[in-house]
Amino acid sequence: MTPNDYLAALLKSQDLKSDGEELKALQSARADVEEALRADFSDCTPSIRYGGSKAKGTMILDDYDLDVICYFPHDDTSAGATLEDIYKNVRSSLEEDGYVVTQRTTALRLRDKEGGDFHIDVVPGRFTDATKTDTYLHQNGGSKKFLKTNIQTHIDHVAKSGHTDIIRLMKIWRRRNGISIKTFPMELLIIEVLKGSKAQGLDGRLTRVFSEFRDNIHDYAIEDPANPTGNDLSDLLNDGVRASLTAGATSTLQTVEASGWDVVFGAVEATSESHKVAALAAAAVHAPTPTRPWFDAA
Amino acid sequence: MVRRGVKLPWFIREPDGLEALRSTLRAKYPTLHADEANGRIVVLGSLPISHQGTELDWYLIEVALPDDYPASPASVREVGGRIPCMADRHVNPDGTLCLAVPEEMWIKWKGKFDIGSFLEGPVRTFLIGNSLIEHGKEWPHGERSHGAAGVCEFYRDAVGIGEPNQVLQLLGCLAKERIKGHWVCPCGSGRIIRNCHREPIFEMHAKLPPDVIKYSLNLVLKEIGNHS
Repeated sequence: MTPNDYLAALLKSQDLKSDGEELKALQSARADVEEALRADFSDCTPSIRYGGSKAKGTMILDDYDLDVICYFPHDDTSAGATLEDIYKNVRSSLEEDGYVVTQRTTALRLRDKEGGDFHIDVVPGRFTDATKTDTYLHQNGGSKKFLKTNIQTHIDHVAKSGHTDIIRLMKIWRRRNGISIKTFPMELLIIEVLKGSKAQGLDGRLTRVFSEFRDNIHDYAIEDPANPTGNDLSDLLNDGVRASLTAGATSTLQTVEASGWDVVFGAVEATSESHKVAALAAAAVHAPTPTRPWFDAA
Repeated sequence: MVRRGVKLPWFIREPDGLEALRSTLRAKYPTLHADEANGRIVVLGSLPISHQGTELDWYLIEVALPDDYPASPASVREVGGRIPCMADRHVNPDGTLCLAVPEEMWIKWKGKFDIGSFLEGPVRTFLIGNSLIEHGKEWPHGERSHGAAGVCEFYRDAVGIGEPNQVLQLLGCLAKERIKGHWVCPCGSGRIIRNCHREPIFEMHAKLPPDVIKYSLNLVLKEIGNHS
């Protein structure tokens, strides 16, 4: 299998199948969330839609979640007078609907009472005007309590970049290597690195990204395509993040050179459940010094 | 200035050791990376579970190496959100995986807890077991009961002494700086250690650190106290 074939097969293995359990569960959970929000805010007619990786076409099976955008009309304060009020009211209403809600920078992560993850982030906001294009979002932490953005601009910037496949591969890499960088700055950085590059194919472009991360990470800056002068993203790509990318990329390129992409990303051969279970059982039998798990009840 | 009596962490005492660790990771575990965090070396990334050249599964883990690495075991967490933090899945309240009763780790790895031995040994065994649990199977080598009961099970299997009061006697014995062969064996046989469970008791005494013995002793003592 050529490197390009392997990477293509890897991407295919990371598709969330339309008839698969993961996507069905997500869609069902999203429908429940939308129903709850519309019922809770029936006076305001919020706009509710997909954002994030689903809309951008960059979802991966290893690490997926759904952004559910919930934007209120610019001239309606029934959901909250301020952006912070909107954020808190959406949080409260979801909690009253039975969700366990965790605050993030601009989103609300939903879990069930047993701690099970719905893989859904609700992003509350308010449109800036009647055109319903730009939005204001409440921001927790950071130097500003709100930011102005445009979800469609973000979606288009990524979905139309021509590099969603590389972004997906890098998301797999990030997950498997424990690299700490948020998705949005990573997407922007990858698009910057590949802008104008002559590198071809999955192997060529992916190698380009890792090489630039290793050799020239400090040459790149990112800006929010929806608000380049208003939203400062520098903290999302600070020196610590850059160092982590460089170290990870260096190690990865060494591994690829020595052993190939499959050592970096793992196997992609489809293995039946029964075969996998049998193989796991065989692996257990062959453990030279097996141990028994315990629980320290102290 | 270095304070008297304060031992420097291993990676400061031995910078070559840290590079050796990173070398091992690059060679054998290229998706695991070692970095310093809060004065400790933490290894973070994914650990593949392979058998006969086929990757069967993988886990996102974080391994915090102790200050005296590799002389004592590291602590490991599964950080991919896959293993629920609950007793029956053998995950401690602080999120660390409870790989085995500590004595079992010390006896089987003889105090050599380099990253390779640690990952290929107790960590791999635990994660294979977890993968099988997720497929509706049982722990392949069994599982220990929680708390003091699990400690007693270990001593039953390792020494042949498992009844809590006898384990307490055994631990009291192991806690001594020296064990005398003419002491009465804690198994309750009435014979002296030299003529009874001499070999396993002396082996335990040689291999188990005092703090491990003391911890188990307090655990079993508390358990006996709760039932008396």
